[in-house]
Amino acid sequence: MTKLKLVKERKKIVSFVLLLLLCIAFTVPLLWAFGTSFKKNALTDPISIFPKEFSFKNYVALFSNENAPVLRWFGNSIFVSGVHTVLYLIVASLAGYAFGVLKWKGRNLVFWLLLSTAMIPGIINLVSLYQLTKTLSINGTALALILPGLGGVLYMFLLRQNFMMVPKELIEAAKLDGCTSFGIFIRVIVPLSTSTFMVVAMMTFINSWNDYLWPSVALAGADVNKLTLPLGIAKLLGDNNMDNGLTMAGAIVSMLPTIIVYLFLQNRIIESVANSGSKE
Amino acid sequence: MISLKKPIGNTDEKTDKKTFVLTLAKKSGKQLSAMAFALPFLLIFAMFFFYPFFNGIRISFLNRQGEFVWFQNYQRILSSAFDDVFTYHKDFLNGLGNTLLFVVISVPCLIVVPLIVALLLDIQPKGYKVFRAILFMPTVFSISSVVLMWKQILQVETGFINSFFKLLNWRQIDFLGSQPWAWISILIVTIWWTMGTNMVILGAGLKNIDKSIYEAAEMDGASYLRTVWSITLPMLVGQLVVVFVMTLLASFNIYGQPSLLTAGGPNRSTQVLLMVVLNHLYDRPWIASSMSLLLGLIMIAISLTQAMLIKLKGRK
Repeated sequence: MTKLKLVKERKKIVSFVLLLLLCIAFTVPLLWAFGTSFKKNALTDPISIFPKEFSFKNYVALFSNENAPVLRWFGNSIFVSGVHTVLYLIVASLAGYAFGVLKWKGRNLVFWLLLSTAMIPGIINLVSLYQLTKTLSINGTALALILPGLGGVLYMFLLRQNFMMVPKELIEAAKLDGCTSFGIFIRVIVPLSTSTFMVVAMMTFINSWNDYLWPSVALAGADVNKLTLPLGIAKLLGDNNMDNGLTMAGAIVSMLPTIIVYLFLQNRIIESVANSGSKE
Repeated sequence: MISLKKPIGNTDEKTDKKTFVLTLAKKSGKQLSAMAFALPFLLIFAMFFFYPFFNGIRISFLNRQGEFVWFQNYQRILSSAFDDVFTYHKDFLNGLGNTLLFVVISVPCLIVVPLIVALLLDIQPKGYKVFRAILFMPTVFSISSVVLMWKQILQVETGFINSFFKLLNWRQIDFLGSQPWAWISILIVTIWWTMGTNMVILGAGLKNIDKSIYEAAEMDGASYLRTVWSITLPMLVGQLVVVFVMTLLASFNIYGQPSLLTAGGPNRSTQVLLMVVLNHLYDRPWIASSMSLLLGLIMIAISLTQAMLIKLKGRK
């Protein structure tokens, strides 16, 4: 028994050391980027993680750069992701309620149809979706980024599944109390599913915040002031005249909001991603 | 409708009909109000998914003048007979080849590395939750910020790694402008950026395995690696399949990393299919649409195969 314990201890130490090394390897790029963003002269001091000469000049230069209105991009991203998330929660939860709790003719057929489209990869629609935004003349605007994703089936399914677990007795009781369908939704279903709403809101926001391919198509040729943060950052990337310090300041500014959100919600985020694999 | 068949005679049946119509109205009202909840979603879905899907297929059958030309675009993309007129075939082959190459090199790495990390985390050494949080963090960054950072790290002369090489008097390596380093760079950035997702999913699978099975095996003197190989992995097959298919599909979707990191270079050797599609998207949507449909068909085939395998497994 003691030998077994010894083996167990050794296993723990080995895994600790390996994980520590891996984590160091994973964080060095971030630390270097962070340090470099505070360097007075990044070109003469490329290796050190702690700046030899500390300065805020890169951040000052970044925020005063007229070709790179970072704060504007930041605001655009907040707007697009925020509005998208709120609208999606409303639209998808109502649909989830209709498909999971309410009974109507054709419900299962329509649901089956939606389910079978989950297999179709989004890239198939890329070209004609762009044509559609052009026809509606919403290409180059925030609407083109906000609207198409509202028909996403994935988290609507998640909400539906959660609504289906609300006890039938509660719904029946609310019905007897004279609640309308909408009343049941607002007073019974939503309050009992707040944690799922949280997860969906979080994932929708992060995905929308980081989205790159579709915005780069939909906002092609748009004014620099209309870009989202990832697109603006990609623009910085194409500009070869910028020095290390400035671009690293850009990288840090665009990562910081997600890092902060992540620090607060990491357990929930990790949990919801972990569950996405259990759809055997 | 049914009630109309009945001859209307006495008052009894009249009231019967009345209540029937009333309940019918009530019922259809209920039906409509229930459907109304799904309506906003269905309208948006129809407009921004259903319609574009069929319209995309239609566009792929049109030519520059908007005439219906059946499979002409596909012919020009798939057959080398038009090579002296169009570059579509060469571009498509190059892009598809590069995408496939990325799939082949990335999928094994993106499963084995997270699997090893998940196994290490499952031993639950001190601070394993902190380790997990750190290793998962890059997945919440946007691709452009990830590449912005890595590009400076991999840069020649002024980059982090090459500055080290300079210090040690080693030869500089053009990580982004020469092969095989360009692919290796893309692979490393992809692992750094996306590994967390698979790590967490596999970790959840490992957590569900009863620990007492391990203890029994260890009591019998089985080594750790042996236990992992013959007990853990077979019990993790379900999760591994899910992770495999998800990773496969994600790798076929590769776009951001090569587009931003190497811009498809050197010599178009990292120009993946989605980059080719995007090159044609604005000026030749009919070609772009055909190409993306071909790529999409491959991905649908993968999903269908998975669905079939799961059904077969379930039947057993």
